Amino acid sequence: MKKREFIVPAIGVLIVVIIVVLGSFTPLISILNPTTGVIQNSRNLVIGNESVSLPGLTSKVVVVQDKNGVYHIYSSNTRDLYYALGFIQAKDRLEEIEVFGLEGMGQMQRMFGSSYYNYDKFQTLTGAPITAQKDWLSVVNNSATNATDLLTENAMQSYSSGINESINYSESHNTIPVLFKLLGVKPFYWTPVYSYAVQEIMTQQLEFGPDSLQFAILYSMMGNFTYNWLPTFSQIQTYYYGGYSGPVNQTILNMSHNTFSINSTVLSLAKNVLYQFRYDPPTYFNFSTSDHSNEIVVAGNRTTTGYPILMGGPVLGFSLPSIWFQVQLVGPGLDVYGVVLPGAPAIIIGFNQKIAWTLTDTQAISSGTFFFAQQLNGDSYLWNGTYYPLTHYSVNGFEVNWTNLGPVMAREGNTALVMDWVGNIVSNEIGVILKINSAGNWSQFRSDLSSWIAPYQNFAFANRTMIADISPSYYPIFGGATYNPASIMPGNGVEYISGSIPYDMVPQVVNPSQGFIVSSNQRQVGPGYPYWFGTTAGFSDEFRAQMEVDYLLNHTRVSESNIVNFQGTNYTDYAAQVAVPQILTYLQGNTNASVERAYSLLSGWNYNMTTDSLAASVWFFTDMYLFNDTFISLLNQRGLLQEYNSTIGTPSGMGGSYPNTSGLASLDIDLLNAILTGNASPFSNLSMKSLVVDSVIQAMNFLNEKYPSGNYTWGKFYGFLFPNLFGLSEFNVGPISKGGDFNTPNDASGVAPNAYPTGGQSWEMVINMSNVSRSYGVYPGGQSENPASPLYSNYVNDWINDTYLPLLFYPSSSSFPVNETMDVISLVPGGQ
Amino acid sequence: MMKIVSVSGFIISLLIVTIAGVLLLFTNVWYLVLLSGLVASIVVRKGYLVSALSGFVGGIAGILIIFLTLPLNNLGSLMSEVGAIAGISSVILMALMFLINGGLCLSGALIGTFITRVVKRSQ
Repeated sequence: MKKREFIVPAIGVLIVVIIVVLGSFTPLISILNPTTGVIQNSRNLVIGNESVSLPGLTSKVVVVQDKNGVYHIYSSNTRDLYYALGFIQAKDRLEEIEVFGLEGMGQMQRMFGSSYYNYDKFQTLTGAPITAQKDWLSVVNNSATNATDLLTENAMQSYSSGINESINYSESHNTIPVLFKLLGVKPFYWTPVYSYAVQEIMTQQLEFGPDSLQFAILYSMMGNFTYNWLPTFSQIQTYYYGGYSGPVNQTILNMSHNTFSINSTVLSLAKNVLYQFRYDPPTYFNFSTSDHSNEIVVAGNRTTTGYPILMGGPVLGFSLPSIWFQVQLVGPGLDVYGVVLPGAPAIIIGFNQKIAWTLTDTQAISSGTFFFAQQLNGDSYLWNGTYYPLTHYSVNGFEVNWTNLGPVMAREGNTALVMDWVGNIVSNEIGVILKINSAGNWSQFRSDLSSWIAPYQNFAFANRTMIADISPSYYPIFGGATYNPASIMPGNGVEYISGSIPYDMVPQVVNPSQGFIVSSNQRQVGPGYPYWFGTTAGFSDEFRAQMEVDYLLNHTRVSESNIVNFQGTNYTDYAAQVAVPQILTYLQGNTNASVERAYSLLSGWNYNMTTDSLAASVWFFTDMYLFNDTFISLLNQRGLLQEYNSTIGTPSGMGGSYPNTSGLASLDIDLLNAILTGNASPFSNLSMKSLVVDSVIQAMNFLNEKYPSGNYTWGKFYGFLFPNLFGLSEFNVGPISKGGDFNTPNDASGVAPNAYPTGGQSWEMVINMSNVSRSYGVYPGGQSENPASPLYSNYVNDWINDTYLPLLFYPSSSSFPVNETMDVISLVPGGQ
Repeated sequence: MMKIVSVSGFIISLLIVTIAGVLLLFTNVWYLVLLSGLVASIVVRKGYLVSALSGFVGGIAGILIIFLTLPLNNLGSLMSEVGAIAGISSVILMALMFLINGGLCLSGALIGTFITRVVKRSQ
């Protein structure tokens, strides 16, 4: 044959070689494969009635997806109910579920590669993966004798099987979610241990932090001045839902003012561990989050229906998909509606036929994370004069050592910094929530919560005749030398955790005489409380709670729509409400043109942070400049600014609203107190009047420079951004302008253009106890995690516009009206 | 007469490539669609031009048939999502899918035609 006759077949071979090379070095061939690649995922986007055969089911389960996309799961047995929940949730949220599991277990590298090494190492070091395994083991070991553990074991195993069946189903139909296909990884099979890892993640999000390390570093710089900087009790707060508003308990105050002096080695370790905290949360979700929340319960004698109303508004970082998945679960002895987390089969916040409940984070209390400086010698630690062997763990390829107090977070020679975190106490909060899902009264509800350990939460409760609130958790009591628990403590045995506050003494109230309860992250109990309960150093001031109390005091009879409107559109800034009248007295008579303009705007203002308000912008930036001139100037004068910034981080006002800064409730409280008392001492030698006037001038100069036309409305600086959970900015939604600020119910800190708030009330819920079927709620997001789905972000505009959706609550699938239905999925037993 | 034979050969080859290609796609091993072009060219034996054209067009037709099995309403938004994540235009991604399938079938057809010729010559 002639050479040229080989040219054409050689071209054919070359094409094949090019395609094979393309497939070997890029994921294109697997992604574009017509029968297994991404185009098959268009099947996942179909919304319509379907019947699915699942081998793990024992009887038929009917899943009604209502017109808003919410799933209502009806099963004749409990096992199938949780199985179906796992299947349905994974159908819409498998990527999210698996990422939460990996995040909790410190195994992010499995999916996202070695760039998550530091996060996985830190997460493993905290003990969360170890505790998740212990939690599940404890459930299994105790299920024969403990009803909660038995319920949990059955629910968790069924739920896990449901998730895994969804994975099998997707694999057999080539519809594994797009992210897995693009990353070239297979979903892993879920186990209950991962659910407990999710429990750990939530405890970390709500009750985990380096507050004590920051305090210790600050104390090493400022000494006793730290107590002015971060006071134990607020000078502003007057409402404590749990009482004890009497005089300061001097023993408790003395304890807070008895900070253990650390040496340079411990200080160095503290800085080291503080630095490691920067790896948490993982960088795939690199937006600032806030963990505040609102809860209000109003008694029947103050509502238009004569029955209680419960309002829930957990403030968490936003994401698409949302952290919440909205469902109704109906099975034997259970008919409950609300929101579940990815990877946990219990309705966290919701209602059933008889009760409603919601959760908020408690005041910080050192974020439930206590640090001790402990002496080590080789593989032993010293406790009360005796050396004991360290406990070694090898997890995720990392070596972790524990003393009797917890994991060794850092070690230098024989000195170690050990963390005693409430999240490392073996516990079964998922089981507690499963129990309260079917609770029928306060006594049962309260009893179920008695085994709640962490995170520190307030549980608001309402039924048709009563309202209540309780903050169950493991609040440590310190014995021995009782150094300040808000700082690093000695770990040689002179101070120790001797137990926890008795359940009857944790903050709680039933049917208070004023007819309402507000528990929105403020300190629950007053300065007269006989137990150490944290300081003002934390994530939330109490201004929002005070505003909510003011509203309820001024509205003696409220309707459900009043509460909906209040939650969604009341933008009253409590700090402005009390500070601006005082600020106006400082500005009065000043002839500076900027000051006169500010005076004119502020004097006619109703303290609402509405998007069209000019005065709102003047207040916000005045407050921020005042914060800066008061606190940052002091740090500068004392030569502490550089050290402070490099270790603790630059603070800014209103919860750290400026980009790359952090918030500290104490300083917001200190500032408001200074304005109200007219005394900036001990933070500044300048008069309050001169500080305020100067701040106003700076604020007006900034605003006029930014908007020379003078149209610097608040909406130009504030709005909400809803970021894609996986960091895919193409699928972010927003920013969208909306009123409010750090002191209003959507209390997200931030300011445009570089720090748009990315958090707020992640689930707004108002339950009408006169008829729970007439309740409303909305969360910013959608039921699907798939950006191509019409259900990816369909609730965002509803949330922005405060269009609460009816929480459709029907006891059976047959009673579900057709005109309220989007589709029906029949899950039937059968082999694949 | 010659042209008629070529056209009918092209159509038969196209049908073989398309049907065999779709069937082979359902093995989930994409590279196997190469065999559809190869088989068609061996069966029809109408030279490089006919086999190349029918191979490529048949490959594209095979993808179109796969599309018919999918809910097309959602395909655009899905491919936009994939394109956004991958950093490649969704149109380019779709075009690549057609090109790869067409290319594999075409390669099979060219190789098949060559094999036919070698066999014929050796006889």
